[in-house]
Amino acid sequence: MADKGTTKPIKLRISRYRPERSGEPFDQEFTIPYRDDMVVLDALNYIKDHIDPTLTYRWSCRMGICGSCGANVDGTPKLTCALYLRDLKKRPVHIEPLANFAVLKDLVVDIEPFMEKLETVKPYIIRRDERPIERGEYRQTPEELELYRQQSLCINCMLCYSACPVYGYDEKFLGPAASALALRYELDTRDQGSEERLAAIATTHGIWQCTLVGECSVVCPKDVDPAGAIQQLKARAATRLMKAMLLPLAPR
Amino acid sequence: MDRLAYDIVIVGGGAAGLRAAIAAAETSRSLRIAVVSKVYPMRSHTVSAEGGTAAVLRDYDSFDSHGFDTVKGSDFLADQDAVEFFVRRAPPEVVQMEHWGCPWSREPDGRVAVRAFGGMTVKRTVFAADKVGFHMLHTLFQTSLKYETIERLDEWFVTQIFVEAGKVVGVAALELRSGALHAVTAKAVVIATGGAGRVYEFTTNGAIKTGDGMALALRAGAPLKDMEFLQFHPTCLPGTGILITEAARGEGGYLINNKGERFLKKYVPEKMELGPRDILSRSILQEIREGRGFQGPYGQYVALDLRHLGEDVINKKLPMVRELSREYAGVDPVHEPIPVRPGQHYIMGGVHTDIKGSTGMAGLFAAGEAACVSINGANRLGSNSLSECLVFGAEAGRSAAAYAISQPAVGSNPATGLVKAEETRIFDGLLKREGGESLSEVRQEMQHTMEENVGIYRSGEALEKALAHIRDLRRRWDRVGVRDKDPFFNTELTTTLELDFMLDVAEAITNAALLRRESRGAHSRTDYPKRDDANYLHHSMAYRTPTGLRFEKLPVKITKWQPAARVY
Amino acid sequence: MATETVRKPYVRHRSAWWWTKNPRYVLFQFREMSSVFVVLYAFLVLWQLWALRGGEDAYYAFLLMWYSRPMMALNAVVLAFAVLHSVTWFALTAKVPLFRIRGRPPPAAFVIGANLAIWIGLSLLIVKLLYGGF
Repeated sequence: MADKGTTKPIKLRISRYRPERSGEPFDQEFTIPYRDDMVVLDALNYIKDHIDPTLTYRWSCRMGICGSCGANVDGTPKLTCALYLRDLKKRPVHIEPLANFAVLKDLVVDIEPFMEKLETVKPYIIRRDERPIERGEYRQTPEELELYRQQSLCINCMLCYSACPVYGYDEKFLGPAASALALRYELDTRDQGSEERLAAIATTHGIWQCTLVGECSVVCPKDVDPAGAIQQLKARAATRLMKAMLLPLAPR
Repeated sequence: MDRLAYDIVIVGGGAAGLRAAIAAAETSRSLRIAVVSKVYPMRSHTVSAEGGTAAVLRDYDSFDSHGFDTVKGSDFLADQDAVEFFVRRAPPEVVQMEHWGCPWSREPDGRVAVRAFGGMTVKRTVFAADKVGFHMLHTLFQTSLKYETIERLDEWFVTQIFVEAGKVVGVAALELRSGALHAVTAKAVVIATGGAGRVYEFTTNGAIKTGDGMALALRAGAPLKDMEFLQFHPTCLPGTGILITEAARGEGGYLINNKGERFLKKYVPEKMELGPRDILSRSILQEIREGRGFQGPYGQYVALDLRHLGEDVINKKLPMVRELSREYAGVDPVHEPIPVRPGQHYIMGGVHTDIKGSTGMAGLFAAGEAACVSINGANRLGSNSLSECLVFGAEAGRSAAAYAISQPAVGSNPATGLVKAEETRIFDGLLKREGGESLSEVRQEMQHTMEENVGIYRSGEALEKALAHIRDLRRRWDRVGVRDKDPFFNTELTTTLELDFMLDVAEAITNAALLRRESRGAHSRTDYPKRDDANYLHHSMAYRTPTGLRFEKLPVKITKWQPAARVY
Repeated sequence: MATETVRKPYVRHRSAWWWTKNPRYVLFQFREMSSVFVVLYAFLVLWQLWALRGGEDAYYAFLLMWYSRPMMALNAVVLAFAVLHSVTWFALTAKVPLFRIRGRPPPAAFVIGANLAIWIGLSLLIVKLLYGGF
């Protein structure tokens, strides 16, 4: 990338965690040349390439679609590839690993708990009867597609888990992204697995743990609105329960 | 180091890898399948694909039409038996994806919708807004969770494929979380690691596209085919290289020079903005060289004008294009044209395979961008790549399954014996190196020389220079020091290993380009500007030998369509 | 160095003042706290009913205490929390769309506005019924 002409250099304070050096994370400051079209990821790459190759962080697509590069920047969970340094007011810029996750090394966190939660919500089409491939696609109108389109946009970046104080308090909580994914399949007209899916998530540590703080939807870079998704799931789960109690013989 | 054993190991967790895993799991429930990926599967670069997936779904379409478009697009280098197989298998794959929940965009009557795309004579590109790769990858990944026999080794970096007596016996993989090198025994290995865009300076590709699988195959003894053919996508954002999908042109966008003209009239008068990518990229470069480009802080560019499409169409059909333009180019395509220029995007070449996904080496298979069947020949048509991942991912998965079933049960784990040498290479050799060379410098020099000399236009002189430089960089890589001594989640170590792979791939690309003294498809030689069917209607096959690369020829399979002049 | 045990990831301790970091967290904490005051007011009303049982003189003594300055201050605080409680509750009604207009959920402002209007309207009606006027 061409050098656009630098202005004042910029200072960053980055949280490091090197298990072989000490048992605790520590901060390290770096000063780097600044271009006004640098994103935080560019700064991290500059440091790794030119100053400290031991700096460890995740990234890949650099265009906000792979979900790898989440970090807490000045206290807020962000995608480092989509956050311009020019939009940050504090100096030094403070970069920490995503909150509410255990730290493996430097800015890399352990996302295994999240991967397990993804599996819990049965995130695939469940059908009682499968249409043979030769008979073509299930028909789904653009309006039906629109019903679940928003929830299908989740890139699994986990910024929402970092923002959620309930998850910070209870790591067994299903959490925003996994719940949004559950709703995505709930609302997909092709899916027939509502019974099993709701049963799996309408539990104490499932959707009912949410107290609607709403910060997840504020930080979501893709406007998935997981907070709304969880409330919709609660309504559906509650409705199901009522129906089961009042009309026990009705089909589900 | 412990004893891990599977029937099938799939290296890479993108569209092709996951499709192969599912196909193998559906072939037999007794097969133990591992998807080994250096990143969590949702991060695979499939996720960034935007435009669509091509398949014959409509009555106005035909297999011959899709097949001919593909063969002509390939400048007649594609193997036509493979193409004929491919176009017939693509439609059921698209329907299968739909059954698995892929949110394809729809017609008002509920059928899966299709859009126009470059080089396709009719509308046959299935799409999901402009996030097709994202939706396909998440659908495949989430569907793969259904199968108990598919295990995943996430953030495991494969460093070597083990071969014993000409047969694949497993892989060595670095587990990032623990820093341990594991021997993973397998009867069959499927390479699905994607392309190698990061050998170039300006690419649409993400950080992980470092050609790992291609280098792994080469080192294991399998040949790389057609490595000289790189696709440069016409419309990338200057500076970052972020892709602006062909779908923007498919929906009616115009390419404009600094005189306000739709300059493609001079180069592809019939197809205009929907011409094939190699011709479009050359045309844009031509315009820029002749002074009709715009000047920007990151070099020259032309304009992609979407304003006449209107806000509604852009929001519905091209929402991500709008997002990306605003975020990374500071431009709202509803009101202003998007600055674009050609950039490396895809590699047509790769690990040689047949129609069944087999490399010819017992137990070794490949699929997706990492492989070269070849259906793309000298130039790929947009939206054929994702269909290729599905069709040949599934084929490779089934072939690997059939092979694994035919093999006797493995007694002792052969890979565990072979891993000791690899451990020494990595932990005693690499990790302990103090070196004198800087990893980032060697890498940047490689990327720069590839960009300058092995780009859209090549000449014998430039290629010779580049080849010598790359060989020198290979020697300098031996002296790259690794400062991070802790093997635990060591991304300095993995990027050093990636550079090792990239240098192999860069050498294969450059050497193959030097040997092909003609221009065909995306390979343009200024010193040999014409296509030469008499001497060069063949694939190039690169083999590794102790003294360097050895090249062989492989004839192109022609069934229906005789090579003809390629005009649009 | 071939084998390594898997390192234990480092779990960070969360400060008890986490909720001061951001205005929405602060609002959330006060919203949750408002329930305490709503329940407190319920006990105050029960206390008032209990005082009625004691007869006219006891009740008169109670009313003297009830209209004292400190009690009025407490009531003001409780009212503030009760309003916060209700307003934030109604603000969440838009999160679960009950119907769709032309494929989209109704605009949040409309849903919340309608709910607030009904709440205020009903409250005014009750005041009118209880006190015969304002």
